[in-house]
Amino acid sequence: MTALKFCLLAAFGVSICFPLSAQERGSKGKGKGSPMTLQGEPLPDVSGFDEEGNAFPLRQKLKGRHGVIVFGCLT
Amino acid sequence: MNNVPGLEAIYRDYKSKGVDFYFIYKSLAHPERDGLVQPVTIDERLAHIKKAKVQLSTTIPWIADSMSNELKNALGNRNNSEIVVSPDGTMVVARDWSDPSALRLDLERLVGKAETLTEVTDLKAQAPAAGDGHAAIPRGIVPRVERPDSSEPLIVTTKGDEPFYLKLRAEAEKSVARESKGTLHLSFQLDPIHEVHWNNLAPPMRYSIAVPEGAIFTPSSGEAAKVSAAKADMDPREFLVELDLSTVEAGTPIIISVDYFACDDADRWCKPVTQTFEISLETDRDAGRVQIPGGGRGGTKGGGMKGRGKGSAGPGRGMPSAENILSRFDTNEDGALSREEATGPMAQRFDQMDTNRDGSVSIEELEARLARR
Repeated sequence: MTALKFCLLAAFGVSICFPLSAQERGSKGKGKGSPMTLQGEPLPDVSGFDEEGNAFPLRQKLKGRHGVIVFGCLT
Repeated sequence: MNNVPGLEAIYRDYKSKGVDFYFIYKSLAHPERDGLVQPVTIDERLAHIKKAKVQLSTTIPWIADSMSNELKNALGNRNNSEIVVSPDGTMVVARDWSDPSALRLDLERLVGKAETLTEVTDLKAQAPAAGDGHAAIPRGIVPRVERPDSSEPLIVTTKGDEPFYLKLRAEAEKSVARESKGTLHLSFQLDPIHEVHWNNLAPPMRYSIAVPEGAIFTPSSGEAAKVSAAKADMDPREFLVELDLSTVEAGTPIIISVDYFACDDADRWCKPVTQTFEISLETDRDAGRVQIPGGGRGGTKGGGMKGRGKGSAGPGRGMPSAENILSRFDTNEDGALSREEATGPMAQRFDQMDTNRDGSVSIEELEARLARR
C-alpha cells in the first residue's frame, strides 16, 4: 500500500516530504532509525536490574559476547 | 513497541550463535496511554516488565532501568533505540529507533548468517492482553482539566510507605521555572499496577499544600468533585493552582499531602490512605509526554472534550499538523524539537520558530509557525 505522504512547503520555504505509515517510520530518512553518536564508543559501565530485581551491570554481563540491547516500554 | 515480533524472530535465530539480547525497560514514553502511570519504584518497573512480557509475547530477557534512568541517559536517551555491542565492549551499531530488518543484516555481518530464518509469521500469534486488565473499572467519566500551554513536567518525589497507589504528575508553565510564579497543573492518578480504584461512596480525595512563609498558592488546598456516575472509577483527579514563590528561597520544594479512599479491585479492602509528594520546580526530562487520545496532549478546560486534536486550529488539508511534524522529528519524544532534532529547512529556521528563545521548539511554537502560512 502506498504510504501517505505529507509535505512541508510554505511553512519552511522549501518542500520536504515524509511518509507517515507505521511501517516506513523508523526505517528511512534522517529521522528514526538514524545512527547515534554513540556508535563506535565503548559501552559505558552502567547498571540496571534483572527481572528478579538483582543488579545487572551491563558491560560486565556482555563481556566477551555479542549483545543486542533495545530500549522500550509499554507506552 | 511494534518492532517486538521482528526482534523476537531474530533472537530465536541468533541466541544459539552466542548473541545475547536484552530489552531495557525505561521510563514510560507516553504515560497515561492505556491508563498506565509512570512507575516511581523499581518494584513497579519490574511489575511493568511482567506485564510487558505477556502483552508483547516475547521471550527476550528484560532489564529494568534504574529509577535514576541511568541506562537511558547513558545510552542516548531515546525511547526505542537499538545498540549492538561487540565482544570487546564497543557499541558497533547504535541507531535511534529499532529496525529489525537492519539489525538482522548487522548480525549477519558481525557473526554470520543464522542457521534458521524465523519469520514474524512463524511466531505463534497471541492476542495482546487488554490495556490494563481493569476493564470493569470505569474510565472517562471525570472531566479532565487542561494543562497550561507550554507546560512542562516537574520532578515529583513520592514520599512515605509503599505501595504508592497514587501518583502525581505535576506540570507547570515555563514561567514557573523562570520566575517562580505561574500556573501549576496537578494530576493525581491511581496506578493500575496496584489494582486499586477510587471509592466514590467515600469522601472525595483532598490535597493540601504546605505553604512556606512568603509563598502564595491559590488555592492551597482542594477537594475533588464528588463522582456520582459510578461507585468506582480510575480517572485522574486534576487541579490548577496559581503559585508565587518569587519571595521564597530558590530550591524550596512544594510539599503536598493527599488524603483519599482506595479499594482494591478484588474487593478485599477499602481504606483511607494518606500520601505525600514533593515537587521540585525543575523540569523532569524523564517524565514522558502525555498524549490523550482524541484530545492532543491536553484535556479540557472546564470539562468539555476539546483539546488539541480534532477541531483545533491546525494546518489546511494535505499539510502536516504540528503533531505530525513532532511525531516525525522529535526523536527523543520529549514533546519539543531540539536544535539537533530540527533537520533540513527546520534547522535553517530554528531560531525563528523558537520564539521564546529557550533552545527548543514546542508544539505551540510549531503551531504558531504553521498558522503564519
